[in-house]
Amino acid sequence: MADNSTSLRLWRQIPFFKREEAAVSDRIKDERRLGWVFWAAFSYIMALILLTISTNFLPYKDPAFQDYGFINSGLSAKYWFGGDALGRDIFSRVIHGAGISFSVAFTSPFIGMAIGLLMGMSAGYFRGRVDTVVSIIVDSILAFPNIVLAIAVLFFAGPTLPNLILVIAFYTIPQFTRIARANTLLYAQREFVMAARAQGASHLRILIRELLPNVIIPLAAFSLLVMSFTIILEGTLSFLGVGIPPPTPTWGRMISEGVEELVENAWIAFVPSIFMFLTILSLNLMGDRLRQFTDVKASNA
Amino acid sequence: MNYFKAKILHLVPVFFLVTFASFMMLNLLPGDLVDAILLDEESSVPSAADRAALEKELNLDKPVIIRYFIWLGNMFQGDLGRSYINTQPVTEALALRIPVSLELMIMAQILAIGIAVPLGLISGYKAGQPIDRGISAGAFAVLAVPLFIMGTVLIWIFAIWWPILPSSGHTDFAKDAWGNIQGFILPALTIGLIEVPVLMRVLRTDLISTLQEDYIALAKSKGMSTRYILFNHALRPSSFTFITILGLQLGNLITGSIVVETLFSIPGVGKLLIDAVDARDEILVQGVITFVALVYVGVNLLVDLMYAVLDPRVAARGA
Amino acid sequence: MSQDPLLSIQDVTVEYTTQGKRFAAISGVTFDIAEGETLGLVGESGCGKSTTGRAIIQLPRPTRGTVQFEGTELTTLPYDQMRQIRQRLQIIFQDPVSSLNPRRKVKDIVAEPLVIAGISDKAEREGRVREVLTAVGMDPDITMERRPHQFSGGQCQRICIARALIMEPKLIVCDEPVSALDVSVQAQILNLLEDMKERYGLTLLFISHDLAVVKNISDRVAVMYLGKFCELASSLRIYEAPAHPYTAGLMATIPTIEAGAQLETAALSGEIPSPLNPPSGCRFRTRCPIAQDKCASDEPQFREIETGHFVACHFPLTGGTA
Repeated sequence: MADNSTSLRLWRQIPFFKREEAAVSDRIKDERRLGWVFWAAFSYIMALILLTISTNFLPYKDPAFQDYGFINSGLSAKYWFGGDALGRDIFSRVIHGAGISFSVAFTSPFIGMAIGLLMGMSAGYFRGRVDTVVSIIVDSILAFPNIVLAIAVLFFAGPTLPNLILVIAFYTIPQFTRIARANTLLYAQREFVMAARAQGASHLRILIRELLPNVIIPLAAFSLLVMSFTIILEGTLSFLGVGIPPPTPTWGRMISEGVEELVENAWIAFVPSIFMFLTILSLNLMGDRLRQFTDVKASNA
Repeated sequence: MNYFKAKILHLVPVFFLVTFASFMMLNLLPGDLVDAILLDEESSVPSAADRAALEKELNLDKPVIIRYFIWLGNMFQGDLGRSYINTQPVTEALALRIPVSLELMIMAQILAIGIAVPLGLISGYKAGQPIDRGISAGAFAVLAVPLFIMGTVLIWIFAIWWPILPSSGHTDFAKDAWGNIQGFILPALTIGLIEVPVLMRVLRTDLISTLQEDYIALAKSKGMSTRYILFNHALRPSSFTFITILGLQLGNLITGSIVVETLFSIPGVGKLLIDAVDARDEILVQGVITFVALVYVGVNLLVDLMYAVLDPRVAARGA
Repeated sequence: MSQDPLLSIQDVTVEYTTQGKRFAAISGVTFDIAEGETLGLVGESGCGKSTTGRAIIQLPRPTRGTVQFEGTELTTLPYDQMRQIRQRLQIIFQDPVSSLNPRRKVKDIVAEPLVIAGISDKAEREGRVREVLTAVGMDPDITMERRPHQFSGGQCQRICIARALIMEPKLIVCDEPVSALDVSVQAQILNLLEDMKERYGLTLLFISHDLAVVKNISDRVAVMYLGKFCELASSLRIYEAPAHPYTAGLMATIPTIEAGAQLETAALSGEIPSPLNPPSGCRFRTRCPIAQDKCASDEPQFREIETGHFVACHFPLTGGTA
């Protein structure tokens, strides 16, 4: 098997705290509780999601409306975060921009997770040829540097939200596949799988009933980290001007527009930057904590 | 040697996959490629003769698979087509831009190592103590900063708030070497800082496990100084993984240079790509993407092979 | 043993491939189990006892040989028919915690064989789960809604036994069922198995590395070494008068109160050879205190030296000689 280099390649795709963290004992304590940091991050994300949803029925200012009296205006009662270079309401644009980020973050990872589960669990359970085929598919996905493929697809197939979601989802497949495979390998050796086979359970039943409930937990924890990855990728594409085109506000584009005004009106770039940073940080914190949490539980069980 | 052969053989399908995908991208275009190109060229109503000429040049009268192999053959002769905006050959445009991107990446890597190594050493040596916690928390925060925000913040700090470095522009090294390097500091720092958490964390973890080895305890018991142990014993085995990870950062480096070249207006390959996208120069986009993907595949192979050379166990296992 | 045996194994070989090499985990294993009997299977770890147990339930299917259960040949049975047979042929594993899916409720774990067998009536399933949990000494009201990690090892093994019993099987392969448990709990589980055997009319293949455990529960005992059978005899006979030097060596490791009842053979010494590369001739010769030249050249046949007492040795300690 081309196993070693594959796992190495996949490893690179994962943020930095993969497995070494667990080995370093000084980080593992307080294993039963999620801790206030987790709940703070959770609250922030929930608040932002609620704000995003509220754009559907609360009368926010039109994010594309240009109020010439408020070009580059500072903070005010009317414009909470001020107006940008075209006099548009930054607060409203940030909230609407969160909508694009979240619509990618809450779809792409789950498409990737579904495909990754299918491929990773098949590879880990059946091994042999299936494993080889899956590793070839994963290697092929990783043959393109992610940003370049995303630029290419959005350029040639059009910068629409479905295209954006799909191309980002495509890039989350290898990570999910790898984790699903590793966990399936781990659990498939447990005797309860052998017991199920001895009872005459079909492969499909074993995969769904016995393995899936175990494998999906570390994947779900990991999906939070993938969400932050997708938000960064979406933001980067928007920043480069190849993402969702105007007038739809996106954080990446807001920041790229703000850079033009950096000398005089730095907050235009900084407001969406802070929102984006906090969102990614929160997802990372939650994902990291949940991953530790589920790791510990899995080893106890 | 089997391992190396297998690795290189593995490259064959990947090569065809990557080139075929790059080639097929043009076919993803909604509508007709010829129309798209001719409309870009401002000749308001494309004449039938124009169309025919262009179709012939693009070999559109032939089946896809033949066109692919013609394209592939041309590629091997260094011909990736020419830009439809300024008719410059793609390979020529690339040749001008490659040195710039290369300089940026090398500087970014130097800065990343320069920052990550001391931080990783301190953090690993003082594991669990306040200074380590501080560094780790900082690294965790940096991890949540996308490249373009990092760049924006650096510009604001070092070019606006405390204006000591230029925020954009590129000067030729031959004309003004110092100006050239100055221009690269902020962009390289942007990429470098983003890489620091990963490198630092790997070094830290490695160092912690190395410091627990028996021979370190032996060295200590022989009365060697902390610094001597750290640099002459502990650092050596640790750096192996570190070097590997460094090689594996290539994907991030490519993303990094695209973003940073756009943000700082540096005329590298990444900027070429984004400019081509903005100008809707299909052939140029395709050419640059093919080039970048091939470099990526090639360097990945190189990293795999180097890894095997450094650690013979890899080759043994893989065979 | 006049009637047809419940299970009959002929010349079974199971081969695995590791590191590109093929090796036989067990080779040429032959034995019968009569209905209602308990056959003990003993040997050091890695000797192929578990592989033998799993070859019976066709996980994996043996490379060669035949396995007949209730007169049906299992090794060539199509998948669907094998599923039917599985209900009558169950297995209990060594590690009860690992044998239970940590994410499922006890209720669902025990009912799973019923679901697989196609019993769709929920009330009926629940009734049978309650019944069998009570039989193994667990309170259904407390047990059913919980998950495995809330129970001790002994309790988990009871749940495993309940799961194995729910389809009322004929034969249960017990693969070291008490080895992972505390000594105090071992006796409880062994008693439970005896009770269940009585109540459900079971036949057991009881695999263990511990002769003392096997002694009490088995009617007959088989001894394995490096993938082959060394000796097979009634429990009484094999403990009284072991014929194979390896059996005798194993006996010497049992702590005993009676002094002087010891055999001339010393306790076992030396390393077990790798199954990848077993010794020529008799596989035990490298550790055998009475090995001779013949043992290296000729492989001893598994033969009957007295009624119901089989041994694979050129120079058996009791019974006839070569």
